[in-house]
Amino acid sequence: MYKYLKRTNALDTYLTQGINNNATIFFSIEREIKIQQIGTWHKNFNEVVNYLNSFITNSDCAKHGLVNLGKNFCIIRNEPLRWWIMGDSDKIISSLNTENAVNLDISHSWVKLNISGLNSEKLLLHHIPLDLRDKKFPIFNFKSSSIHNIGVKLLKNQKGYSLFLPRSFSVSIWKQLIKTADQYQYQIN
Amino acid sequence: MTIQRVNKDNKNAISFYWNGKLLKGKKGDTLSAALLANNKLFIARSFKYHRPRGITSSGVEEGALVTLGKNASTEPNVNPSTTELYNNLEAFSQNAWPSLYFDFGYILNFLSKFFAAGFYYKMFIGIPPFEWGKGTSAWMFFEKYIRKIAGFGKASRQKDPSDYDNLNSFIDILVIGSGPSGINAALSASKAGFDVMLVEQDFELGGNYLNHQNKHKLNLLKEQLLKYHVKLKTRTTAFGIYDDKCVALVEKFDPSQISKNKIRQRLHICRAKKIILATGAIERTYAFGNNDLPGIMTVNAGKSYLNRYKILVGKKIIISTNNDSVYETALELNNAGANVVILDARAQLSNSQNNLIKNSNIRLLLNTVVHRALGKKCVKLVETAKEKNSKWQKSIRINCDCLLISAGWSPVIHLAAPHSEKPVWSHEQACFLPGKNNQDIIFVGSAAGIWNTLNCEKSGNIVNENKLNQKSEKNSVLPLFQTPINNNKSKNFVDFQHDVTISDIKLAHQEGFTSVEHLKRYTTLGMASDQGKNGNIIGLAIMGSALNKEINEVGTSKFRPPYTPVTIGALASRNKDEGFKLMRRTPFHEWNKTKNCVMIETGLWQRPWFYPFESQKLEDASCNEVKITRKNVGICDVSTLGKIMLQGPDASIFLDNIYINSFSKLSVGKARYGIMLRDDGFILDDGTVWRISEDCYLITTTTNQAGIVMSWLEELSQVRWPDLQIHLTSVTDQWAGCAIAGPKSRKVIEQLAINKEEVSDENLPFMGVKKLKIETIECLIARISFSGELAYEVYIPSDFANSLIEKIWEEASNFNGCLYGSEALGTMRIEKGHVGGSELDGRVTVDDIQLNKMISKKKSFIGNTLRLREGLIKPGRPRLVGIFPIDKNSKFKSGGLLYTSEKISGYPIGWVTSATYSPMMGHYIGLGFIENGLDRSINEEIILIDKLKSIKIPVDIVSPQMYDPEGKKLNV
Repeated sequence: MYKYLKRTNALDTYLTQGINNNATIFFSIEREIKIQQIGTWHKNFNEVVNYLNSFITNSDCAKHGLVNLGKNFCIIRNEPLRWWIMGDSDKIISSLNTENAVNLDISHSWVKLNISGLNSEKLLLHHIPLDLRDKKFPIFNFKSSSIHNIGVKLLKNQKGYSLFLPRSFSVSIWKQLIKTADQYQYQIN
Repeated sequence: MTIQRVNKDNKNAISFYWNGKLLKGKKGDTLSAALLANNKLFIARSFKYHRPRGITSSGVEEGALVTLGKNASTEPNVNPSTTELYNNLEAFSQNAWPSLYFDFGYILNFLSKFFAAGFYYKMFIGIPPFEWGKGTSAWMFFEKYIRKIAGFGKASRQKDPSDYDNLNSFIDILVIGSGPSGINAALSASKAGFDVMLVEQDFELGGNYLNHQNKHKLNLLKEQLLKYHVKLKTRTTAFGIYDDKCVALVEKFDPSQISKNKIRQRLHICRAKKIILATGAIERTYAFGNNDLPGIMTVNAGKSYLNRYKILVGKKIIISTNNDSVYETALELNNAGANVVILDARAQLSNSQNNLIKNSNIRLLLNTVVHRALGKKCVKLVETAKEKNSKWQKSIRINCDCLLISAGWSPVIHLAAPHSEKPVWSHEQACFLPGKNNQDIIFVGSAAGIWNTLNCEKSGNIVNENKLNQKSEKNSVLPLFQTPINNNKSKNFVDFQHDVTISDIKLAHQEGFTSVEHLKRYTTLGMASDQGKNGNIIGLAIMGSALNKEINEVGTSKFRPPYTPVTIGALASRNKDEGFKLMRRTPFHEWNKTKNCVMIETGLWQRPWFYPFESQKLEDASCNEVKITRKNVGICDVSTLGKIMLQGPDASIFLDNIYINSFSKLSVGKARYGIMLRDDGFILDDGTVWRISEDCYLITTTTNQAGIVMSWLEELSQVRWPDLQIHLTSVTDQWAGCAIAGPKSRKVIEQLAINKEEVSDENLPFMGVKKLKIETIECLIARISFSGELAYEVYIPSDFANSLIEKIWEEASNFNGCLYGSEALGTMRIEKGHVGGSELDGRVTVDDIQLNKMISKKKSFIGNTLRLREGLIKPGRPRLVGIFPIDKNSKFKSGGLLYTSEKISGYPIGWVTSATYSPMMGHYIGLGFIENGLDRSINEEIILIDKLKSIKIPVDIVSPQMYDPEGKKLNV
């Protein structure tokens, strides 16, 4: 194998890890993300929902923005006729009926930036015009928004948030986030 | 004027500078309070007449403005009455030269007859007799001097060193104003379980509570606010309410903390379900002679400076009023040691007011107003006027060192104005009350016309539905807007900031500018930074009196945000420098930087421009890149090209609908060049389409049109053909694109492939597409050429771009290859006659670029009908051509115009769209358009003229395919 071969995240050069005891915001990157997009059409919608639901229990892949958790993956309906499957999706993709739906690997299109800590919500509010209060954006939900008119996606989990940035814009957005995070003190894990 | 601190201890002393002189203030002072405490009465010169001006209020309605800071930190036109004092604050007076006390501009005060409202329309109408009544040379001469003399402060030309921030918040109830009604509204809502934010423009909470002598109640309420988790924001002004209850706030940081975190102000966008306006009311003055003298201020200012800042504003104080609100203040001033005289315009007082002052030595004169104030740099004497037998006459003169005025109260209703019906004039209250609006913006307290503190507190109980419809209180007020006796000897000011007087209003009436909008613009009443908070109503009343109409019949102009001035820095917030335009980087960006690449901005992309060797300049470097690529091999980062994945059983139909040529018959594993048109028949974009599988195509677009094309295709898919089963996904970021071009490009590709045969001429023919594993990573490869050489485009999953480009470069280097950027790429495509963004500028048709043979006659497609409009197909239309200079040493650039030698002016017959030095031709070449295209007579002399670059050269019109016209190099 080529000696230099490795998967490099867009933010790799910019993330200098270190400890900050006064940090109220913590950043980390998920390096080897896997995202498969599934798209269907109106007449096939129910079939695809039933198919996806068969992989998870007690959840509903028809619900918009809900993060449906599987064993090593999650399924999110993030557009009316599209889902993202994040994580180990091989089984789901391999037996997908291609007459009902199409799939597309978009793992390299996004950078997943995890943000946690006391002021993580406040940091995001500097840039994202979204109501992040629990009653409006509960845990395990997913929303689309924008930072400086650039489309981003946000997932809320029990630790904090995962912010999905378009790869080509990720460095610029990261620099803006860091500048804002300065006032709250941050640490990169 | 003898101003003094009531509390003379030195606790919490702060140093600050006024006009370069070190003075002392106290923590908690505003700049106005500190200046007054230092007996600085006279702090500014007025806008037009350069008259001495002093502090007139303790709030946003202040007339005098100052400049803060120096050099890059200069902030002009600042209200000193709302500026928090901090250590080493530097403040300066404005609009005076050479100094505040001796100002040359004061001469204008004596020439005021020539500078009445609208003077510039009448004075500068031409130098007699040459241009009497016409011409503007007089104005053009005087304008620069007038601009120098008039005006307020001067902004710095240096870059602002401060940082600004922005924040979004979402709240159930936003309460604006922390006075008696506001604090209680916030508490009542919070106790009921709502998410509440309370904003206050002052640096301390409390509003009018701060002007009370006893602060005990306020302190208790503050504790409650903390207990019930009300989000508190002081130093935060709500300056506008926009659609959907979106409130814009500007938060100023504690000035003593600014140096630590550098952020000076923050723009805060707050979205609330309900907005409570507890914005209070502003005390009005009225117009009388010399009412702008330093030492004249509002009664509320006197109260505030005494009870909040512990400053007694005079020893001999005259209070002129028309309402009950001043009596408590008069008593407080008297108890603090001042001699107080009250001039009340009314004929009698209520018992409660009489009882307040009866045991004091306050002198009361009923039926009395101020006719004229006298003094040089501050007020010394007041001439009164008294009503006797329904007639007003001049009356006694009284010495004083301070004159306080209260001519009524105006509820602050500005924020809701864009969302409400017109405000309603109340005769009983002599003020405008809020017009009707939807129930989501609620007025409480004095903003709703409630004056009594206890009633204001009760009105804040908004959770009780009965209180939602706030009813205003009765107020014993006699309308008073100007002194009742005509006063021609001195100026009677209506608008302090713009030096608008009663005679200006009367002049406007005389000249027919009687509507409120004309009145405003002709006199500039209310157009300064205070936006007429004090003067507008006086102006309306005077105009009403001239028209014999009530104030509400004259009308009001619409209040517009911002309520108080907002810095451009706050509005821009983080959108400056790198934050102004967020740039995109290709996956090869970091690697390109290690290769000494010089980048260029292409839209939002940072794109490799050229790779200089040592200190090469652009032209040398790009020529070198072209030569090496055409001789050996070159690698170019083409990741910026738009890439859209089209999937679904109806993908072919969709493509046939959007492109001029057919794609449904395109085989899997093949690519095709396509052109898409707009509905109007002009070219939208061009690109290639790769058929990856039966139902899957990769569409490529130009870099600049990628976003537009994606939006366009989405619109077509969702609106025009919603029944087509397709999905469109932008995959521009998914793939890193790398062009490998040149005679040795196949050899390089062979080294990358696991099996050389995969990429042979037979297995990967021209316009062939396949998946190719490079070092176990599945990539896409197409044999496509933009340069005209044998070439391939390799698409690598972006996260592996930096690794694999090393491998590709290693192999290319073995064949003496080079890296090339967009400059060299541009040169090569011009040599080949391939159109780019410069040619496809939105005004060009398929016929214009000579590609009409591509048009399918077997299908319809977008733009097919309108491209056949007469004007778009008429003979003689400009067509694409190549351009050579006749003198091969001549240089030219794009943008040049083409003329025949017989007519070298006026409308051109053609233009140059792209130009470059061609290493292959050995001279400059260009692409452009010219009438009749190549059908022009070869005997005709064509001249290229570029006036901006002083170029005028004869040129030859040639075929656009200037290099390898037969395409032999593509099929090597």
